[in-house]
Amino acid sequence: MDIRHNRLQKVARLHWYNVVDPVTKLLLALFLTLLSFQLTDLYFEAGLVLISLILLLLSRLSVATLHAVSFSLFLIATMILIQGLFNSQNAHPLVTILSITFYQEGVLYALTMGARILIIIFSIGFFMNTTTVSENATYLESVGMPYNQVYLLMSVCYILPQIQQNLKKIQFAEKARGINPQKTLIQKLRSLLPIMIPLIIKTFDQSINRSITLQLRGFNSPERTIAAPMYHYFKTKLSHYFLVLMIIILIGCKLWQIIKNFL
Amino acid sequence: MANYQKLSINQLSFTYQHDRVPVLNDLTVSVPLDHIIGIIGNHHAGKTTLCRVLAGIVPHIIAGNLVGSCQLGDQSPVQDWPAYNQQTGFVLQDPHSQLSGLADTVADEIAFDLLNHGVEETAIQQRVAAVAAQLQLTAQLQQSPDSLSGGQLQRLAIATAIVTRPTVLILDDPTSEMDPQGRSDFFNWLKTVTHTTIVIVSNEIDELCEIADELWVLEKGHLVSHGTPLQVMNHLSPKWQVATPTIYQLASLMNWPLATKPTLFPVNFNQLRRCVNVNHSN
Repeated sequence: MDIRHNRLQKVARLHWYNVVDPVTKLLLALFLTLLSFQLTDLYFEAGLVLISLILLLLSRLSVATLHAVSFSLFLIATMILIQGLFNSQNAHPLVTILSITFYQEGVLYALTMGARILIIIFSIGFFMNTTTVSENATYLESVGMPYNQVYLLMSVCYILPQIQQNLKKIQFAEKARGINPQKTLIQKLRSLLPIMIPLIIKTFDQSINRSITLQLRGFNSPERTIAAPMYHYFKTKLSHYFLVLMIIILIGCKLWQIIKNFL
Repeated sequence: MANYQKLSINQLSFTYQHDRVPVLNDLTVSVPLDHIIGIIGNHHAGKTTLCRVLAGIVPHIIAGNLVGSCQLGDQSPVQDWPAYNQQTGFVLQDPHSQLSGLADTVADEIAFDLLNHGVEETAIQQRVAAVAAQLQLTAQLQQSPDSLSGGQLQRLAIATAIVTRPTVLILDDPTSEMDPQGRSDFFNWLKTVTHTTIVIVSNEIDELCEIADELWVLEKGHLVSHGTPLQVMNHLSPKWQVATPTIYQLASLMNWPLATKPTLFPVNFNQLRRCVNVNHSN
């Protein structure tokens, strides 16, 4: 039996997003984000939110993404409240609730910003949920990226989950000892402050150990065999070229708008 | 002249960069290759640093001032580290740090070292299956390394170190998270390993006395005692605060010395069995 590449298991698990390579997913997230900043019409923004939401819903939804979405919805609601009431451009009343008036300009501004935040969260969530660190590493190395740059990139990807993991352990230990009940948001935030420095030091220490391990395990060996990509990706070069071209056009448009203001 | 059949450490001292106090202080010892060497000692004795020196991590990856020499057979961890590293397997104290983080399954994690050594795919398959069977990880091969328990993770760390068939295996407290059965299985497996020089740091003094050919006692960076477990355990100083094996404690309480050396008490089962037989026949 093929214990490393269990084909039967893979076929059973193969989804549509597995044929899209990690770089295309990342470029797509960047393209959608830049497009949302280029467009100012709220209907277009809503369309982009819908597209990125469909992408996310058609992929594997993780608890972390749901947390990120719920937190951003809370942020957007706060933005609408603040901008609707206090935006400097506010002129036309939109709605009055209990003698408090919300203005059209502020609400529209907050909705546009909120839509951009959602597009970023949804498209990055799609990338995060449909790729693994090993898939990214294998793919990047197979397309010619030097191993040390791949490792550097993967280390950066590991820092946040590692901090989260260490934080959970410390908070669990604190709860078990009854040091901090952490029931309210304020209590949770207050409990974070004293452990920030040990948390960062521990994570840094783990990163150093991982780097030692990789060297001991021959990651930089000249005999190293580059692993074949995990999936057969569809039209990778074409999608890369197309998305890079679109991104360049979008950046060009933005730069032209800025230059035009000075002319 | 250098002895190519020995692990020789000669006047070895080491101080970490930005530190003033040496962690290892004038260590001199030599032992034949293919032996099992147990390193014991209290906290901050220098056990992990000695393992790092033997693995070549110090001074190649972690900087510091290394004085003296260290030679394993015809190779030196200081002089030709890349070649030496290919012959060495190292298990870190923290098994989480041992993982590459670049593998989705246990099988891929074990295969990582072999891919780095340029081994062919068919050989990789065979070796991964064999090592997983040796360390009772066959059922976990398709699981994510993140889903393993502490003991399984330590076994995976050991699997990654032995899959390349190293001639030198350095294990820094490899059983700290294992349950008693797992620990016992591990030491029983270690006894069966041949043609490999094994250096193991452990607090499991009973098991060490069963399997080790030689014990080194470290105290604040000094090698205060070395020899067979029988010699070392019978000449321990209380100030080193090193635990003695249960068999030694039992035999000294019952006053069952070795028949051949009446001043020494047994430290492992075989020695105890012989003592009990002699005492019964008397």
